[in-house]
Amino acid sequence: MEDLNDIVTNLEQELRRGTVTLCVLSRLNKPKYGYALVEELSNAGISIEPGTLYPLLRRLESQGLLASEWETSGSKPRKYYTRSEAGERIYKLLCGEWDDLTRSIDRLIHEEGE
Amino acid sequence: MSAKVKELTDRYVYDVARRLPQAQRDDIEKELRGLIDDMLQARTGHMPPSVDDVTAVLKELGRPQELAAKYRGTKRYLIGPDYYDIYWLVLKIVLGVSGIGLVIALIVSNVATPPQNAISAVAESFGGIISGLIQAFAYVTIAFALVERFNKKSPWDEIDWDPKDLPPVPNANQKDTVIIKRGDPIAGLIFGVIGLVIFNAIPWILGYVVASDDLVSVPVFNLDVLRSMLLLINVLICLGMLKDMLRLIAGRYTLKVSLSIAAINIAMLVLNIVIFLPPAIWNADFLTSLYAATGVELFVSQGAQAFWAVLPTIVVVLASIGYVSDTGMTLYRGIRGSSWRGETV
Repeated sequence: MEDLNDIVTNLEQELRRGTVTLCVLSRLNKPKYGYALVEELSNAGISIEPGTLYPLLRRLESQGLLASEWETSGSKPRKYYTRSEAGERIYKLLCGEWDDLTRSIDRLIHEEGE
Repeated sequence: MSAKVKELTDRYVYDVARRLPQAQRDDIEKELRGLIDDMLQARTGHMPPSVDDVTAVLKELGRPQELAAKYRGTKRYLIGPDYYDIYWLVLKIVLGVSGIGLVIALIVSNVATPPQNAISAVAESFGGIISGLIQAFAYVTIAFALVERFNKKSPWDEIDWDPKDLPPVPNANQKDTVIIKRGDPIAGLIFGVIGLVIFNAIPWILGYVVASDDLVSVPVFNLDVLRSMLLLINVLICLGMLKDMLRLIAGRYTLKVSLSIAAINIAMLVLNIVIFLPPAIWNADFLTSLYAATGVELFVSQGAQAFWAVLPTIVVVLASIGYVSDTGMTLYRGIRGSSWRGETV
């Protein structure tokens, strides 16, 4: 039988997976590079592994939600990401969806089933 | 940064990058280096990182193949879930049919020319069968892998799915008429392979064969004429196997399946007449050679001669009756099968 701890970890991961994109988009109103984003999110209580975030940033960029630019003037070259126009629109939509979802789920989990 | 730390970083970055599409490689490589640098710095502050530090950081990033897979975004399969079921079915049929074909071919060839050393002959035959099966496996797998590789879209996406198309749960009465049992077409395929082997490799075995000291063969067919007709005969046998494949894959009779089978049957009927009705393909000297080989006078009697003369007609007529009745049965079952699909049973 599967270990209960494994099942819990797995379910938690699944629960977080869909929300990561929203978290990332929320921080990218200004250009940021990947590792700064990891730290910022971690300080906000959302831990995301760099090995997950970096590919995600690229995917969002290829989908047109993010724009990127290499910043080479500093001590080391870094790729800065920011929400594109389309990303802005989609971010707003997702925020609305999130509000609806949390309201519904709040009701479900705080009321007893009939 | 010490040389060792740099080397480990380089090796890691290279191992990730080489698994990525060329176009993205440089960019990802550069970004990944920056990331590792940032992670090291977060770990050690302004102290130079040690080998332990870089090891910990790379472990945190995960296995190169996993990281590269995340960058690619898609899973890669030799044969993915879309094709797996049909691949498995085809593989089983091909392995079964070619296995039986190989066994028969080897038995026949060993009987025809008895080997000097029985043990080494068995070992050789066994090796031959194994390598034949491995080849069959390889061909099927390569074919499906190519389809998987070049078909980006799932084949099922194209076909609109409608619950109406679900096969009905068969009830006891209809089961026998409409559901195609797998045994018959599989037997048909096996006989098809046997037929191909015999007609192409050892046609003389059809006839009177004695394998005592000397191998005596009195073939039923005129082997020269048979050879010139080989293409048509192969087409005939392959059509039969196509029919069996169709039955096997369809699994039950519908009007479409039945009409296809009927069309194949008509083609086979015509080929059968063209190939076997003209007397030329039959061995004109069959009876006299048989008499010479056995000394039985009955073979050269008038009755036997007359029988031999009408034999082609009898064979063709019997085969034709077979095709016609098979067509009739198939159509009947197809019509039942399709009316059963609809509202009226």
